[in-house]
Amino acid sequence: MTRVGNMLLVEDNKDDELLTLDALRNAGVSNSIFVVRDGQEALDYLFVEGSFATRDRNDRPCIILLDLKLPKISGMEVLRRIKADERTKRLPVVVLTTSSEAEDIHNCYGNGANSYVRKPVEYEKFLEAIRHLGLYWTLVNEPAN
Amino acid sequence: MSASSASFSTLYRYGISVVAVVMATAIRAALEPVLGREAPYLPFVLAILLVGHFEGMGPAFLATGLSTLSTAWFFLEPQRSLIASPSARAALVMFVVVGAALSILIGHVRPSLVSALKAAETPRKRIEMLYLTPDTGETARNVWVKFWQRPHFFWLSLAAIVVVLEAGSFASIWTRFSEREQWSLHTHQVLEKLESLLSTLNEIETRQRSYLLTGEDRDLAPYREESEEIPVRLDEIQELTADNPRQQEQIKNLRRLIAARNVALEKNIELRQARGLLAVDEFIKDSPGKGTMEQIRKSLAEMKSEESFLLDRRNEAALASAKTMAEMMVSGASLLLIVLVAGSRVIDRHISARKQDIELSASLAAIVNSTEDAIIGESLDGLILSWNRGAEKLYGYTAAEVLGRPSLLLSPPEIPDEMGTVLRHISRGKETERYETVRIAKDGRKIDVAITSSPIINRIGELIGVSAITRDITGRIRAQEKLRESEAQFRTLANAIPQLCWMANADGWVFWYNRRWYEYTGATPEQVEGWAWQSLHDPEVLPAVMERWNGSIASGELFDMVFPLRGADGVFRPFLTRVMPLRDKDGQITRWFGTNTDISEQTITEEKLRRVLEQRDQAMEAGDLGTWDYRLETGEVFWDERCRSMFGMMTGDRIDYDAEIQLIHPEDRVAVAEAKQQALAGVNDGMYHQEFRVIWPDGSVHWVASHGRVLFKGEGRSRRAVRFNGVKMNITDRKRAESEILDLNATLERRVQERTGQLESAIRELEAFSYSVSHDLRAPLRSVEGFAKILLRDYSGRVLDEIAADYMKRMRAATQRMGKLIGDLLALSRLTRQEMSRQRVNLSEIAHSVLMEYAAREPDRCVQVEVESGLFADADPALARVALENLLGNAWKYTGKTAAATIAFGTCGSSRSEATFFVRDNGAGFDMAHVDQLFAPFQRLHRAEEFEGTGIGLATVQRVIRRHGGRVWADAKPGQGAVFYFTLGGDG
Repeated sequence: MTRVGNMLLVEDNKDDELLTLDALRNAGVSNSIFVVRDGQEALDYLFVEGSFATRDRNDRPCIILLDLKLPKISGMEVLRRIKADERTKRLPVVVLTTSSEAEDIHNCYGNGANSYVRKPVEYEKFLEAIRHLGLYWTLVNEPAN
Repeated sequence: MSASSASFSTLYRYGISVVAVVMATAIRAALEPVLGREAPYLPFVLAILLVGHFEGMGPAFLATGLSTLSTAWFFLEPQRSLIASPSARAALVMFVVVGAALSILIGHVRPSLVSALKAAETPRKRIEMLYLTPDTGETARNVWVKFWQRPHFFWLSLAAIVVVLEAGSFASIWTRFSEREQWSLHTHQVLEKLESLLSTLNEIETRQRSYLLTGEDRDLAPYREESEEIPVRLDEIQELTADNPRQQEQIKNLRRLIAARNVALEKNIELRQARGLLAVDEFIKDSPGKGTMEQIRKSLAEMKSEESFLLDRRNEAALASAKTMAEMMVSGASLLLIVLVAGSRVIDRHISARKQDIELSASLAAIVNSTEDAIIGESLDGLILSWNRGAEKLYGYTAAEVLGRPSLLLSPPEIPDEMGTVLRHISRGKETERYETVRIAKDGRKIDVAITSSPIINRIGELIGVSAITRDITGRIRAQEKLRESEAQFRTLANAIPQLCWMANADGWVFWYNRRWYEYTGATPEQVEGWAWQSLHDPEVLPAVMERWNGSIASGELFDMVFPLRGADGVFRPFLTRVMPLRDKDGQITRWFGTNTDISEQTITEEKLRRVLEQRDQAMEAGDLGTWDYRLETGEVFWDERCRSMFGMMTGDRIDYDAEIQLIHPEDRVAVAEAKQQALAGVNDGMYHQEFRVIWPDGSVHWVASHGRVLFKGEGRSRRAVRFNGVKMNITDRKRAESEILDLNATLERRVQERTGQLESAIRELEAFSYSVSHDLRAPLRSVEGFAKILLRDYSGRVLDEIAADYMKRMRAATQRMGKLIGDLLALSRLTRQEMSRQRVNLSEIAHSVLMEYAAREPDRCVQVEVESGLFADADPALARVALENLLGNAWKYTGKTAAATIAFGTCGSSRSEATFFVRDNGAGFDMAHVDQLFAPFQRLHRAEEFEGTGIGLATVQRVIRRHGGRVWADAKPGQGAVFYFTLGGDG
């Protein structure tokens, strides 16, 4: 059995945070989910800096759900830095975004994103997407035998 | 020069004469011991002959004169004196006459004869060798005839006879004359002897008397000596007068008397010796001796008178014979002169006649020799006797090869008898008709010949051979064939040419027309023969034509006129008619050759050409184009007025290459010169385009454009520029406009840059807007939708009643629709920004896969799909897919309520080069009244309850099609389906 890790959700929109969390829960994801509000916080958390300097350095999220549209440091920049750093580059990053711009998608994969999930207006579709995501990347919600 | 050389030659000739005389004198002197007094003239005659022979008449005369002087001085008695005895003088005169005659004969006649013979010698020899038949029948009569035919022999003989007769008579007279002289001498001798006898007798008497007186013996001795002389003297006299009996009688008597006297004298001496002086005295007184002496004296005197008488008689006779001799000589010389003069006249005439004869023969020989015809002489027994150059050429034998050989040699073996027949014919003294036969050349080649034979008759009219004039007619036969062939060719040609042509006799009677004539006029030969062609003429023009034509016939001048001729279709067409006279070798017109050329086409062409030229001139004028032309080979330069005016030049100003360059703005000169050099060097096929400034004499600057081209002749190395011409255009206004445009463009460019900047920032804003739309507008929708879902999920039935739940559902539907709208809107905006790359796209495949997707999405629907396969277009694949997705999507959607739905994709007949595609369905369709709203974004023709949609689809399709440069349109009827047509621009 794999160790159940944290998930890091980088999302500035409270509504989206709630909906995402709801969707994740609905999808059966049982991992603890840590939420940060902007790019800077995300980087601080990941690199144990700033307000997160005291955090356990070894506690690394098993997956990062990253919104692209973030205050302070954009999601794309965060992604770039994660993938540029030895400590974090192996962390799977799933980009969550409302953008369906080809350019954005292309840039994400170019910067090393592991998956790209478009946030649709239809909640059902979002749920579906998250469900797939959870199954694929977290493998945490093993049905109790 | 020539005068001096002539005078020198004269001097030389006379010098030779002097030398000859000197030599003759020397020879005669050398012969003196042999000849003595005889033949004093002999070497001098020889000298005169030689001088006359070699140097002519003048020197011979000189030699005659000098010889006369030399003979008189050296060889006639008395020598060393010009005085001569009468007989010698006569001989001298004779010599002078003979010398003069010889001079005339030799010096005058001979050179003219020699020169004539010399002039004729070469051709004469040739004639004798090549043509003249040798005189085989030489008879005595012939010789005689020949002799008389050569008058110089006759006249020379006559002259010789005269000279001989003259010389003979002279000789006889001379002999007699010299006899008389001897007799005269004899008489003188006799007289002398008689005198001497008498004086001796007297001497004896004197001696005796002195002895008688002195009685001394010493006086007696001379007496004795003298006495002994007497008989001797008497003997001499007797001998001298032996021919005269009377004198002999006298001498006998004298002897007797002298003897008597001697007795008397002896008696006296004895008396003196015996009786002394007295007895003598006595004795002398009556001595008979005294009478004896007297008788002696008397006898001697008689003898002397007898001799003197004889002498006188003889002198008289000598004088008479000298006179006769002189008369004879004068008459003889006159006769000789007459003979010589007459003879030389006749000889001269004969010589000139002979000369003419020889010249004629020579010219005949030249003709014989130079003629192309072979002229062969044959003897009666068929041997070749003469062979001219034509024969050599024709047969290939040289004269040396065939002379003396039988003429059968030249006949082909199959007709050997021919010459025999001809000879028999000829021997009857007739000429043969010209006959044509075959002969064989040396190389065995057969030759077609025409032969004319004629007899050869010698000078006395005897037939001695046959002369055959043989002409090679191979060429003529070939020429006849050629003529026939060329006539046939002429007919073919005359019938083949598009012109009408015809021939008329010299008097204008037309006897032949070519085929084209009959074709054009539709007439029959009978209808137009002779002068009947007039019926084909326009009656109004005919008189003028007749006048000209009759004029031409009368004057023989070329006829050249344009007049109408009626064709078979009755239409008159203008014909250029030229008629040329054909003349024979005498210049007489034999026939007329006429051509009629239909110039209606030509007239039209000329008119066209004139119009084209006019148009060109007008165009040149309208375009203000000037023409220029450099003829590079001749150096000629042509600039028209407009060209000159562009350079500010006057009409007469001189222009050439350098003058042109000088008028060009200094800044442009190098470029113009280089461009010209390049064109002349053949760069860019000699094309020349240059714009430059020209400075007019008034200082103003004007722009000129010059366009031209160099024409080259020859290829490769010999290729050279021959002409450089083109047009010039005043482009000052254009240049001004151009510079204005350039200014405008610069402003415009600046503005465009500004606008582009503005536009770019607008696009950036739009992009930012789109981006934020995709994120920011969607986010709240997602929240509404998400939470509504959660509410429905988690609170339905507990907190929310049925109505609330329904409202929630409506909220969710609305937000979902809004989300789709935003998505479509973004997609639409993306279309215009997206890069386009055209490539070959298989539309059939795309349509098929799109429809498969739809079918997969709604597996329950049953739709008949007809996709035409193999439709390709030059398009952006992604955009093409978008367009087809929308069109086929619409079709899919609007057939949703149709029972037997059919969707088709294909092409229909394209009106232009581009293909027209269509998407057709049998769905809901629409009213064509609203078609103008069809492609506007967000415009819908169906209510959302009927068919879902955002109203962006067709707007998207239109945008895609427009981006490809194509068109899209629709045709529909409500309830019966719709057809959407589109093209994709490019070459489809």
